[in-house]
Parts: sequence; structure tokens; C-alpha cells
Amino acid sequence: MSSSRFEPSIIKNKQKREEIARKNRKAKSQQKLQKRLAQAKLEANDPAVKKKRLAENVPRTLDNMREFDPSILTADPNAAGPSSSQDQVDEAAADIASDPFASYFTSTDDPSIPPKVLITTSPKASKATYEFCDELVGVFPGAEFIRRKKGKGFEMGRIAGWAAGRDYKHLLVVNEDMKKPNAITLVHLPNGPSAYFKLTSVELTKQIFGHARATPHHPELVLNGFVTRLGHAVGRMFQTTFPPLPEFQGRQVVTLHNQRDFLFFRRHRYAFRSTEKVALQEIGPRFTLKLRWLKKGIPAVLNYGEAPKPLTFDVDPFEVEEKDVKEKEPPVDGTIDSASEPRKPVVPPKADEYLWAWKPELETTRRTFFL
Amino acid sequence: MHRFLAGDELGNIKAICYNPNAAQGEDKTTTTTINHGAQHAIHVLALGSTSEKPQLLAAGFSDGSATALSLQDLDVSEVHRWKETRLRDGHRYIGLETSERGIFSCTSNGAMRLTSLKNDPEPMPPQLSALPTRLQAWRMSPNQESFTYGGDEVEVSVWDTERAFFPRPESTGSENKKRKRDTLFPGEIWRGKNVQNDHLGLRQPLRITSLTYLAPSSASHHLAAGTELGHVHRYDTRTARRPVSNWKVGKMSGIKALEKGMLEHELFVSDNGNSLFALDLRNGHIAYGYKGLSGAVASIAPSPSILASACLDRYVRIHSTFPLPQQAGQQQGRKGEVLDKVYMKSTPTVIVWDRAVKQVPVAVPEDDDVWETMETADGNSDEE
Repeated sequence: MSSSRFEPSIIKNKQKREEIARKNRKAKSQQKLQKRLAQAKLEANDPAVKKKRLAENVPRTLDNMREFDPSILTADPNAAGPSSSQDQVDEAAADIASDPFASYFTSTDDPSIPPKVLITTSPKASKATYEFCDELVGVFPGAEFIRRKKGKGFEMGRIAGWAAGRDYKHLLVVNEDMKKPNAITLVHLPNGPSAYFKLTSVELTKQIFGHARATPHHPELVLNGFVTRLGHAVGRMFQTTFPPLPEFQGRQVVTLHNQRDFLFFRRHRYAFRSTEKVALQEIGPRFTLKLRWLKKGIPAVLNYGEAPKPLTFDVDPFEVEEKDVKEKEPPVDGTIDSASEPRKPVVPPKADEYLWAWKPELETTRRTFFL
Repeated sequence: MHRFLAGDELGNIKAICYNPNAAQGEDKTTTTTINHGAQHAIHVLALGSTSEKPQLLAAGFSDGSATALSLQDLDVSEVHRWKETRLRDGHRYIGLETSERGIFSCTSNGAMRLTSLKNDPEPMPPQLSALPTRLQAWRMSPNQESFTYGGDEVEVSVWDTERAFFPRPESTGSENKKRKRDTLFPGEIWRGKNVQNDHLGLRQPLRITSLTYLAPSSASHHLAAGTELGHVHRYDTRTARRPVSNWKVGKMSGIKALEKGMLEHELFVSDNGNSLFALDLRNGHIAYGYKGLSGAVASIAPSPSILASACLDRYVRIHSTFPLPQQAGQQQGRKGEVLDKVYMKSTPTVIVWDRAVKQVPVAVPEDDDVWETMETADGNSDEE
């Protein structure tokens, strides 16, 4: 096209202007169509050209232009040379193996027993929240819903301690605001961490058109797109809410798909229509989570009004070292006793420690993601 | 070139070298693992003075064991290993300090210990002492004549290091109850007092989480303490038992770490949320905060001109520091920022500066006489 382009907008007569504009538009779309047809013809003859075009023409999205973050557990694709030594890889593996969720992956218990999940709401919940909780109970095989008790002394930390003493592995609290569920706190028991997610785009099963009916089978789990160490912590946390062994005859899949730090929760049933074709049917519910913070322990109970305890001494000042060792020995001998004795109650901490908390200044560019 | 040593949750000790003049394309910060741990988290780390070579490095682990290492550049060799048998379940090491007499250690249930490293002619038994339980912070003064502790419903208290290890007479128990609460233990020099009740007349809970010496001398002690309510208390043992100033600093939650900077009137404060501030000790105002931290800063290591922090989001960050304005309340000229951050494969729990100054023109307050001069300067500002 020449630089002195004729623009129909300079024509003052409306009818003429529209006519010219229409004509131009039509010519342009015709030209585009011809180009495409020519390309299709070319590619039909030579499939290599099509392959080359598709390989070259990759759209640039925020996701694939993501800035490299050293906490991503793979090596930097742009880094020159093999920078990560075997030593560092070992350390990363040792770190994951010693995290709070490690016991789920190393335990020798029956893998088909679902971990117990206690689901409750924030105080004074309303109908929408209870309905959402009902759906969640259907999603987690080991879930149990208990209404949040009224009155004092039912802080989240105390409930978490209570639940940990009763062998619950997770506490899930659905928070509501403006009579709608707006956040989820997921606490891993007995020693944390606890995560707080913003909850949006909730669609219950009955609102999904053509939804399938859920069965009580243990679902399979798909965790998608968790790449950083923080992402792995979140992914592992969700993994531990489901039994390690799914019941494949149920053909149900729970998906948690991470894209740009939003976690999309979906549940589907699959069916093999033929040897090549697989069909998916959504079961529901549908919702989106976004991590706001991750705390080290279970939620703290800040009891500022408690009576001050007096100064006490726990240790003897002049114990002889040898005697100490002997004192320590009896429990080692009587291992059977220590196994049968009741567990120590889980006491909520007095202060929260944030492992990670979102704040606006962390997002220096739109290409920074944390999970 | 600045070097810091960091301990992590897997028990590794790593050397972090920061070289501001690194060539383009090279990493300014390099990390080397100098000691591989055995899965027990390091809770405390202490480094001996630079005058002796090799330098002494001590570390306390979560299982109650502790180790003394000799550090020569990046090579370490174990000198001594011991275990604190009095450490109970649910408690941890809260303080460690190296000295010429040995290594002082303290746990949160009050088991204090001086482990001697001299082996000739035969190994000396450790000296033991008992402090109150529920401690959360323990610090030794730079001249090592006294130490201080504080904790959950445990007042800030200053003890004489020598006398803490003397045998204590059995308490008679027949004294007046009210008096008994205020009487000092043998070896205790001074004990603080909780802040006044609030405007509703309610008692403020006393939860000291961190402590540091500000301007130590043998005559009086200036201390700063952080609390779980997010306050920073400044104590002057000469003036009063109650804090001489009480500043609200923590934004999201309580104070986690507290460290006096190398420059005058400077105090670095981190909270359990995700902020790290430089505080002006003259008026308690935040001079500047550092940006881009996403987890709680567990440990701060100031050095001349730069600062290193170990954060629970698995990063060790190198920060710049700038002198505070000449007079309190004036505008802060330049604000500190994060110069570099290194991802640690496992969560760093504690970080210390190795006290060796290489190619840094700034004079370092290292000896006691330098501390003395700083004390008088502080004293002047108090009188104003």
C-alpha cells in the first residue's frame, strides 16, 4: 500500500463514505481469504511447510514470557552452561523429602484410606456457604462437615488443635463475606502449614449445564502447572487431601490447574468412546483459587487476656551430665510404653509466621508469577 | 567482598559471598555449602572473633546437639561436638555465643551451658546453669560480661555471666509473696518491668520475642526488645525498670528479629509478616523499609555498609544501608534497597556476618574501646 493512503473518512458525503468503506472492507477480507486458500493449498502439498509455520508462529503470552525465578525447580532455560550441580539437585530433593507433607508420601498405611478432612465455615455462615461446603464434602473422600460453633473459644487455631488430636489431616474453613463464600483457609494438620486462598467464580454442580452425577469413588488427581517451590508446597498440600490410591472404576478426575497463579478447580468424568476417542463430562463444582498467604504453623490463637504465668524453672541448674543420659534412657527402653501412651495435644502457637504473603509490590511486572 | 554464613533447616552451613564489583554477567553473590548437616535444622549460629586463626564457628541444632567447628576460609573441621541433654520436647536453642572460655549456649527452657573447648590435660566438664523457662530470646553482651534474656511472660533480665554459673542457695520459700516476685535471682543484675496498663486499665501481655544490646558498657545496659504485639521496647538499666520508650513497629504481626546496625542510631527490625525496617533509635520512626520481601525475615546480619537477611521464603537477600539523617526527624536522604537475592534450596534459619572486612574502607567497631566511644555518643543524645 502506498504511503499516501486514501482514507474514506475524509469523504464528507455519508452515503459515499459508507459505500467506499464497505468496498474496502470487502476487498480486504477477500484478499485475506485468497491468501489463506493459497497457503492451505501449499501446505496440502507439502506438510513440512505447515509444520514450520506452526513452530514459528507461537503467540507471546504472559505465561510463556514469564520471568525466570530461581525458585523454579527446573534449570533456567536461558542460563549459559550447566549451572546446577548434582549437589544442588540433591539438596532440593532432600528439602522436599523433609517438608511437612513428606509423611503422606512415605507412610505405609493402606493407600485406599482417605485422609480425614474437617470442613467448616466462618462464624455465622449463610445458605450459599453451606451449599458450597456440601459440594466440597462430595469432592474430598474423607471430608466431614461440622457447623462452626457459636461463642467464644472456637478460634481456627483451637479447632485445628482439636482436629489434629482426632486424627484429622486437614482443616478447611470456608470464609464468607456479603453472604457469599469468598475465601478458603486450608490447614495441614498437625503442624501446618496453613494457606489462605481467595475464592472466586464459584459454580455449583447444579448450575453447570449437562453435568454428570458424582459417585463416591476416590477421584484421580491432576495437578497442573505448579513449578516453583512455593507452587510445589501448595500442590502437595492439595495432594495430601486425597487418598493416595484412586478408585479407577469411578473414572472421576479432580483437576487443579495453575495458570498465572490462579488455581482452577474442576471435576470431570471421562469415558473411552473408542480406542482413540475420550469424552469428558464435567461433574462440578467449579471454582478458582488464588493464594494470598502461607503460614508456617497452624493458625495462632492470640490470647492476650490470659493470666500471666509466674517465672518458673524447668531445668535443674547443676545436673550431672551422666545422670542426664540415664534419665533419658528409660523412654528409649520402653518404646512400647511411649507408643501406647496418649499423644500430646496440639497447642496452637501464639504468633503466626508467614512463609509467603502476597503484597502488591511483589508483582514488579505482569510476567512475575509465584506458583 | 562480604561474607556471611547461613544455617538452614537441613542443618547445612553455607558461606554466602557478596562481591559488589563482580564483572558483568557474573553472579554478584556466590554460595558454597561448607558443612553438610544431618537433617536437623540449625537454630543458632555463632562465630568467634577474627583475631584468631582459624576462626571458631559454633552451631546448635534442633535435636539438641551442637557442634564447634574451626573455619579456615571455606574449609571446616569439627573441633568438638556435644548434646544439650536438658533440652525438652518442643523447646529449642535460642542463643549461642563463642568466647575465649568456651561456647555459651542457651535453650528456650532455660538450660544454659558453658562448654569448654580446652582439651589439655583432660577435657573440662561443661558448666551448667538454669534460667527460667519459656524463654524466646537470649543475647550475650559484646564484652561478654553479662547476658540478657526475655520470653513469654518472662521479663527482660540482665545477668552477670560469671555469677550465673555459681551454685545458688536453696530458696527458703518463706518470704513474702509480693516481694518474692520482684527479688532478683543470685547472679541477676537487673530485671525489667512490663509496660503500663493501657488506657482501659488492662494489663498488656508480656511476650518478648527478640532482644539486642544497643550500647553496652559495664556501668549500664541499653537494650532493645521486640514483642509479639509488634512493639519495640528500649530499656536503659540505669534509668528505669520499665521501657524508656515503646514504639509500635510491626505492621502485620509481632517482631521476629532485631539487630543493631553498624551505623549510629540504627536498628533493623523484622516482623512475622513480610517487612524489614531500619528504625531510628532517636525517635522510633521507621527510616526506611525494604521492598520485595515475601516471607518473614528470620535472621538479620548487619555488616558495615551492607546487610544480609535470611527469609522464610527461602531467599537470602543482600541489602544496602544508608546513614540516618544528622538530626532525628529530618528527611532520610537515601533509602536502603535489596541489592541481590539468592535462592537457597532449603529454608535459611539463621545468618551471621563473618566479621572479616576485605577491601571495605569503612572503619569497623570491633574492639571494646570503640564500643566505649559509641556509648558516650549515645549518652550525649540521651541528655538532649
